[in-house]
Amino acid sequence: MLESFYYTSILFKVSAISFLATLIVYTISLFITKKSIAGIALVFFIISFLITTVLIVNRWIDAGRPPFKSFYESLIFATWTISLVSIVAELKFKVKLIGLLSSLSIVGIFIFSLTKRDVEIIALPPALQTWMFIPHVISYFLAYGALFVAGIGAVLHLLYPAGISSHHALGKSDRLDFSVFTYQIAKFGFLFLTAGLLLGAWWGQNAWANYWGWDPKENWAFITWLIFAAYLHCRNLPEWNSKKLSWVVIVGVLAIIFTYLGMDYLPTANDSLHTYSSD
Amino acid sequence: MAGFPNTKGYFPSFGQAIMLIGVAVAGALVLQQGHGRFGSMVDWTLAIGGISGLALLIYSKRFLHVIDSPYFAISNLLAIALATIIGTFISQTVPPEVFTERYGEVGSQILRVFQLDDVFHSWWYVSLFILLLFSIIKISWKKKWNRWNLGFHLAHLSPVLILAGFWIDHFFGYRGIIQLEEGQQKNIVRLYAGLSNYIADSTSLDFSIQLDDFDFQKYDPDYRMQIWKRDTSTQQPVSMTHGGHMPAKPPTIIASLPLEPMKIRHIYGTDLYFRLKEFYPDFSFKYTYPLLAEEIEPVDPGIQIDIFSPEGDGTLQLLANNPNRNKVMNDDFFGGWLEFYWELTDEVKSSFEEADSNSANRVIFTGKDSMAYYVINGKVTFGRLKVNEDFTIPGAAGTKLHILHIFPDASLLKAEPSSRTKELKNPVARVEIWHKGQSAQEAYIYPRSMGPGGQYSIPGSAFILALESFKDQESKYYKSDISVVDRSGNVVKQRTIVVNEPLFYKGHRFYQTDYDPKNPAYSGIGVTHEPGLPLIYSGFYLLVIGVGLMFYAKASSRLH
Repeated sequence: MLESFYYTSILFKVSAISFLATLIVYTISLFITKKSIAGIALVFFIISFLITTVLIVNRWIDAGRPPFKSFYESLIFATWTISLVSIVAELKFKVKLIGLLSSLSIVGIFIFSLTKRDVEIIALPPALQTWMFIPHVISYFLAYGALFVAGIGAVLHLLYPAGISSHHALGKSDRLDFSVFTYQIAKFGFLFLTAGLLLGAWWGQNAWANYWGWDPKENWAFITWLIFAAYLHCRNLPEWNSKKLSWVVIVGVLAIIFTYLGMDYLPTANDSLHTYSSD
Repeated sequence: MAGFPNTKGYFPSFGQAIMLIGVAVAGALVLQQGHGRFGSMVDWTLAIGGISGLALLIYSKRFLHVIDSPYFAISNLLAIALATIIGTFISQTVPPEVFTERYGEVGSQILRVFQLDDVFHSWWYVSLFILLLFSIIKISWKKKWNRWNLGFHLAHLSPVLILAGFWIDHFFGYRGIIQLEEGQQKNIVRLYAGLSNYIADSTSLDFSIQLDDFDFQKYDPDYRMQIWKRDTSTQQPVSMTHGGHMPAKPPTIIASLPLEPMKIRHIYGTDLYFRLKEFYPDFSFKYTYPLLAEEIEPVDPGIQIDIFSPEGDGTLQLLANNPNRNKVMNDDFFGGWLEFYWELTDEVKSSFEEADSNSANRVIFTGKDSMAYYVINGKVTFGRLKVNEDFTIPGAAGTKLHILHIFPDASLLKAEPSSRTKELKNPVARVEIWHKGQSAQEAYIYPRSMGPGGQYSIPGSAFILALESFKDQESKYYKSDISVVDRSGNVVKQRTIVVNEPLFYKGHRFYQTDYDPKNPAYSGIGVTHEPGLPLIYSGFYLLVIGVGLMFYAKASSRLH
């Protein structure tokens, strides 16, 4: 792990350390409940986000193509969208617990990414040499980032069903209901999940002459979409409380994680018809 | 679970929703099995029975009021999700013998009864989408049509367009491939079975596709200095019974560094450092010689010639006093002997003066008077040799020769590494490696593709330095120049197609889909005829707009 870290670029190291510092300041702000500490944490978070932006742009220039090809690159892009959504959510909802849990997850993703580090910059196969690749991936990762943050909200709602107030909130002293938070973020995520799925089908038609190939990855993207669509309909059940809804979101996030990481474990993975895609 | 009464006083519930779905799935399953086993008579009976049963069920008031309830929406969405999950855990549309091998005789029989070997084309899976159609049409019908509800209607009705397009394509469209070699013209499309990649049938177009040219290109090489690490833990003998050793794992690449000369690199966990001193894209040794060559005794005379032939470039060195190295047979560009002598002896002279048309061709270079004698088909010609000038051998005009040195003493030659050209023909890295505080060692490193032994294994460590490019193993593009030729033989459309850029003609799309690394003239042109595609794309577009409006148009807050 340390050996992998040693050979990463300076920008990678600075991004990772910056997120670690963010996590530490958020943790401190749990115990020292001054408003200024929480403010510093957010500033750290924003700085880390900006450094990661530079890391991604630099990689884009270095590779001469969008840096969304390899698993490692996608993990870094996931940290970028998670931080983007978290920072916006924190500014909008004035709650720092999201920042704490997001930066914790991001540090985890950075450590995990070291085990998947690309030694070599991979060249793009013909199917990926198109601008259509870019909106598809960006939509999906915005969706994944948002739904992941919504998942954090759902967990917080289960932990604090009555919402939280006082020192956990920044600035305002009113209570924050995490089920409302979860719904707002999930809505945003679902919109981009829909767009990403359909952009993918459209691109698939152009690249593989097939908008839907019943490929395991496509199927799981569809399953994930169905679960979140079900969540939105569950909100119309009068007798369902917000705790049950939180569980649906958590199941949806688990489906996303499986779609993203679990395809190799499926027995049908070998039958994948994506002839020149190596997900 | 009993829910709240809806406006008509009915109590929709999950129980009713699941029952409705269950009946539809079971009905579709029976219908498809009946279709498979008993043929068309029973087919029609079953179909009419099944459809009227379902219609009755849907029309019965209780179910009429469950189908537009959230209970049904959730149950239906999750039923589709569950069915799709099953389809990803069981092998789909694989050949029957593979399926039986994977799941056993009994297991595969059971799975087949429930159509689980092809979930996505099974009637029961389709029945879930038919129920979805009923549901979304009904809810949209019921919901007030005004601009505040526009997002709701778009989001709920766009799947109707998508499903309609999907089924139109299924019944009236096809997907296939035209397999062509350069210069060939075909109108036969080999069709895929359903949505699989298995060829099932064929059809013919009323025009032909001609492959004018196919081009396949790999990426340019991108050489990098790499640090490889041997796995030292698997060096121990493991297997007792076979008395063998575990095959050593291949070394893993731990770093791949751009070619930055003189930049000092440290190898993690060691006191080892290295730096690239110079990178030679087309490595060769450049020889220099004392300027006053004339004054030196001919102790070990020789000649060095650069040869640039269509078969490849190289440097030839001949030494007059060395019986193994004073002549070579060259078949590549000349088809005869290349020889070198310091002086032309009578013996040599007579040997070529007696030559006839049956004798071997020869080129004889001499050092002292710098001459070349060409013995071609028994005819002797000669010319002067000039250092640093190009010349050609009569009858081998495609090959250029260039005298580098004519020297009387080989031991005075000094070799210096250099790059013959700037092209990546023979890449070599000259590297310095040292332990901290100690003197450096030099190594020449070259890629595996140039022959074995090019890597440098650092003594006393698990590390190997290598020079490799992976990028040129990836394909960059394949493209086909194709023409559409009508029945009377006229070219009506011409285009270069690449992946992501198909050609559209008369309701058909032609894609660059396949190539064969073993046959550079072959190109697989994917063909689709999908009349439903505009409906599908409109559905996609409206679905995203609808969801966006539903969530973010200001008035939508009235809905919640």
